[in-house]
Amino acid sequence: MKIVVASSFVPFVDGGGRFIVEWLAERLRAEGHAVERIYLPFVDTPATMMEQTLAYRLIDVAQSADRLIAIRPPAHVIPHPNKVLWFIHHFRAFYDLWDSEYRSVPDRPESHALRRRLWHMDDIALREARRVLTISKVVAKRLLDFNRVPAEVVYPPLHRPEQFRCEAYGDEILCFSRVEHHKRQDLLLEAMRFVRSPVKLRLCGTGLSPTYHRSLLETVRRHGLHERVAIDYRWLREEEKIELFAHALAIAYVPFDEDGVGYSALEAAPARKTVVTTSDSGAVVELVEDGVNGYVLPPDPAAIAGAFDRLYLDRAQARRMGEAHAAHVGGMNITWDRVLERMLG
Amino acid sequence: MKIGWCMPVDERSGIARFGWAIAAELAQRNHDLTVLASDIEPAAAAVPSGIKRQSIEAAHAGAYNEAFDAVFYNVGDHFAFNGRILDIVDAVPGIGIFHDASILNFFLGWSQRAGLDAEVAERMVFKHCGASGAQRFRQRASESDRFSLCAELPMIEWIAERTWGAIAHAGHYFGRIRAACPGPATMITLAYRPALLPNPPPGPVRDRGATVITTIGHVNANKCYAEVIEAIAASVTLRRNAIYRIFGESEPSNRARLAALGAARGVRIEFAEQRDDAALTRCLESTDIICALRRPILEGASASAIEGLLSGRPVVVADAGFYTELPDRYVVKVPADVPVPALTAALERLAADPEGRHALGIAARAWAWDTFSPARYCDALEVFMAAFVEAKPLLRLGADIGRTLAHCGFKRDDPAIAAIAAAAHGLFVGGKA
Amino acid sequence: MKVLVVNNMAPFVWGGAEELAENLVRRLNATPGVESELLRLPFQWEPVERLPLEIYIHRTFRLHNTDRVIALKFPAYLVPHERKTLWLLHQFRQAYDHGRGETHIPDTDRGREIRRLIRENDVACFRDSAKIFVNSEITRRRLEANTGMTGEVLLAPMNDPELFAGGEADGYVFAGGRINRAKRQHLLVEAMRYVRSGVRLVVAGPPDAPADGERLHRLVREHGLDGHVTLDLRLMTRAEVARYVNGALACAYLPFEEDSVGYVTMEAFTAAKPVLTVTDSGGVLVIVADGQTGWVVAPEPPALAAALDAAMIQRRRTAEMGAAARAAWRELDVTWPSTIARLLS
Repeated sequence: MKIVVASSFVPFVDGGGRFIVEWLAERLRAEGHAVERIYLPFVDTPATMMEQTLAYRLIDVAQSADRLIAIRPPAHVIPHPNKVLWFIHHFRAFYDLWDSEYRSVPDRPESHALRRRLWHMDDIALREARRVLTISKVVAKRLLDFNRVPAEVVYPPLHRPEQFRCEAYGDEILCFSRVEHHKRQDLLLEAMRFVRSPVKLRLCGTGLSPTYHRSLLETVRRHGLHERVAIDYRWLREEEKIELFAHALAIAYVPFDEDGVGYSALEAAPARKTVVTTSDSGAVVELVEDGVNGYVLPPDPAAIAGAFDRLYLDRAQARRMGEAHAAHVGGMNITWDRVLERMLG
Repeated sequence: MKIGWCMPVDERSGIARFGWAIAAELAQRNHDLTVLASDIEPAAAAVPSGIKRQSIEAAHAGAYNEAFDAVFYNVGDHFAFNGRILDIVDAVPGIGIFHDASILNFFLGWSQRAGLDAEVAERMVFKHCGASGAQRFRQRASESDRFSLCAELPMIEWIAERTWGAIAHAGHYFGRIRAACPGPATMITLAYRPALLPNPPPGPVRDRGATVITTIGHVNANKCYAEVIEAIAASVTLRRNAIYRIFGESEPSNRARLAALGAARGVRIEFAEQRDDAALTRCLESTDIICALRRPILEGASASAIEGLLSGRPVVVADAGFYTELPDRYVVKVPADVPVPALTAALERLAADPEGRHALGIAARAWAWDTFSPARYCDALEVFMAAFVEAKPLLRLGADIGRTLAHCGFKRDDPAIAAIAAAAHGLFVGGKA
Repeated sequence: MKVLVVNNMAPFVWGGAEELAENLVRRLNATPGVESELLRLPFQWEPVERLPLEIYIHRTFRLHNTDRVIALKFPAYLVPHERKTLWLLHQFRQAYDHGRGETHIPDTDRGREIRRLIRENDVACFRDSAKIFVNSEITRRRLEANTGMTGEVLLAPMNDPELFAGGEADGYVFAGGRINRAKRQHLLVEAMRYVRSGVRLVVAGPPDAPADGERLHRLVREHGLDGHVTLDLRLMTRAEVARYVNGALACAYLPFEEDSVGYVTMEAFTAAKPVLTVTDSGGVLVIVADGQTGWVVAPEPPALAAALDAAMIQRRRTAEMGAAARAAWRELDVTWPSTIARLLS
């Protein structure tokens, strides 16, 4: 089949959405399909959203492709008789963040009117698809509540999970993630002030906010955490990551309110490490049963510190929960085979 | 909603009176209203409490767009009163409230002030009034019938096509407005409240003395004074019993001409000036019959006709324009071209029937009070304002698309435009794409 | 500095322009202080009413987070940006070439209007661009004739000049590159019927279609040229191509009216080998000077044969012309660093 995988993007910004597109394209090619990736520019400025989306609506890939898989909106409005959506997130400013403390669009009558137009657009595009897949239950619920569209949850798999392995349950809790405000590495640093065991923390990853990074360094300095906290603020090679996962005590991932499960909780599974997360982290919570294959804690430094200590002091428990996480995720069939079957079936 | 209410503040403007009344009603309904004075040189009028006022400046267009959910432009046929609208109407898309069916004088005042090339002005007239209109425009200096010129060259599209919503006060000019305005358009019956409501007429009394027939307003050729004089003259009883009161400012030449006509026809005429509201009220309270005849009709709705209805005195009108829409049971209509015999018959009938006059007047007054109320106007305005705001994102999209296409050199009739519009409609408005 | 390279693509089509764009991005990323990405916008030009829509679509896209744009083609170069440099690989010839029968734009009022739109948008875009480069002299002339605009010739460099170090000549003339009718390798095979010096011909490269390869095989068979002509018709590795070039007396490249200089020509000159070409080959004639850096003859087998013989018989002259070719090429400084420096200046 000739398949187009289309997504919106912002130049020079690497997001989870890009990996999904690239890895999906690779797998489709491996299956023998001809695949073209289409990235279209988009800026989510309310004043220009309608015209930009109109440009997407006029794109013609129907003549050249047998199937269209649309990933990041507004790619979902591209017309095609054989369209499957892997819907990664709404324009949340116009959906669940509208009436929240995170409202970014002014509460004016005209914005309400714009919202209705965008809802209409989403309703149309969602109903045109032969199948609507999404990346988590969190997003599926929004699709149902706001758009009255039932969507099937298909978690984005890792690229090469078989590369991860388990060597030991060391002294270090590992947080491997982009370093941004909403990933809340600062919460983990606060937790380290409360730990009573010699457990250590390593933060790995890079980000676009030098201010946030500086504030993390400042926190380490102010509370004298430099002996127990390591911050690797850089892009790490895959081999380095695999090595770190192999020796970690457990994986910590405590973002705020995310649409996707992220990759580190999935990577923890083949590395047989358990996951420490928080109840308001969003989709990642769907992978963790508290006390069984990980911890789902209130977003409170003391609670997180308690979990860190427990894991440090009881390695057998850390191992048991790590094995449980591997089994749990393994049982969820988060594989490319499943993805392709849902995309192409 | 946050409302920008663009209106003249000059107290000589009838639109100003309307504007304050509606502004007060809207403010009372908890809208956050700011009056934007559209006069070229706005006077420092007192502002009622709860209402803000700002002067209009082109540089503030961005701020207006930010500050207001809806901007209304009260448009009348007078450059001095309305001129500043032009500073912002394109940059701040809003709702035009068109008080007059013709705005030729406004256009002329502006083109003169702007030093517009004669050719450019002609091209603009050609665009909206066609070749014959452009020709008549070119020869306007030799035109004696100013009113007929205004009627033939209404130029209302000149503003209507730049607004994103439009309101007309009567059906006779609504079609043009709706065709020109890219956004929603509606008709709302005018609201009017006099400064002082005259006392209703006393009970019908026969042989009270002379029957006073009054025409109110600035003395202009379109108010049919001559027809009234001729109509009275054609009736023995009217000549004997009626006095024709011409109430309003007049050029000495007009006054002399009408006085001479009256004298020649044996009709008693008195002239009175409208010095203040109290004088008008006294005039109305001593009037038996009001002649509010217009030919041609240039206003949207007639505030003076409503004024007459509210006074509780019977009003005689021409059956055209706004007046056609008045119910037959509340006004006395003569054919649109105001034929003298019909007018004579109407006046004789009224003069001979004090009970009938009284009943008609009282009934019409009650109906007019209810119908032309600011509350009713604002009810309709709020509904329309909501429709306008709802349409704004689509209108913005239309403007953005238009700008991009113009930038790319597309001709107006390019088939691609229909395809783009259809795609936009299917995605944002219509059902299945 | 974030430099976005903007190109078009027809889904599932991959050609020289795509290679160039990828190489450009790779080289930009290797430049200190520069980060680069490739934006490939879909372009569907049939049916003809798509053309005005594609113009509108491209003019509506908005690029965020980008310092500079390098755009390569119509309509990709219509995407707005304040600092846009054009490197025209060719104009949309369908809008400009009349009477060549290669266009799907009809000669009707509507067709003429569409051509007008393309031309006007081209000119407006060219005027708004910071700099206009073209990839060949032919393109430069055409640009000037069609639009009055002046472009600077900027040849696309080779990606692996170090492989073409040259070497001892081994008695054969090498014809590389894609095999098809327009490239006219069959003329060279025919010419071998007339050679008397014992010079051999090696033709190596991928046929566009089986028939293109068959044509050459048939000529060899029919004229009993086995032993004099080697046909190695497949996709070669770069090392294999370099081996053939480095061991050749001279290289032959005689496409029909091509815009660009041709990679075959560049490889030959880099390896100090003179080039045999013909009078109607187009862009290659800008580089090859008859009697100085190669032979320019009539596109007829006897004329080609005379040149082939000369290459063999006048060995020293051949070697001298090869050296002159390499010197001339060095003079032109067609390297990636200098190309990028010019693009970003």
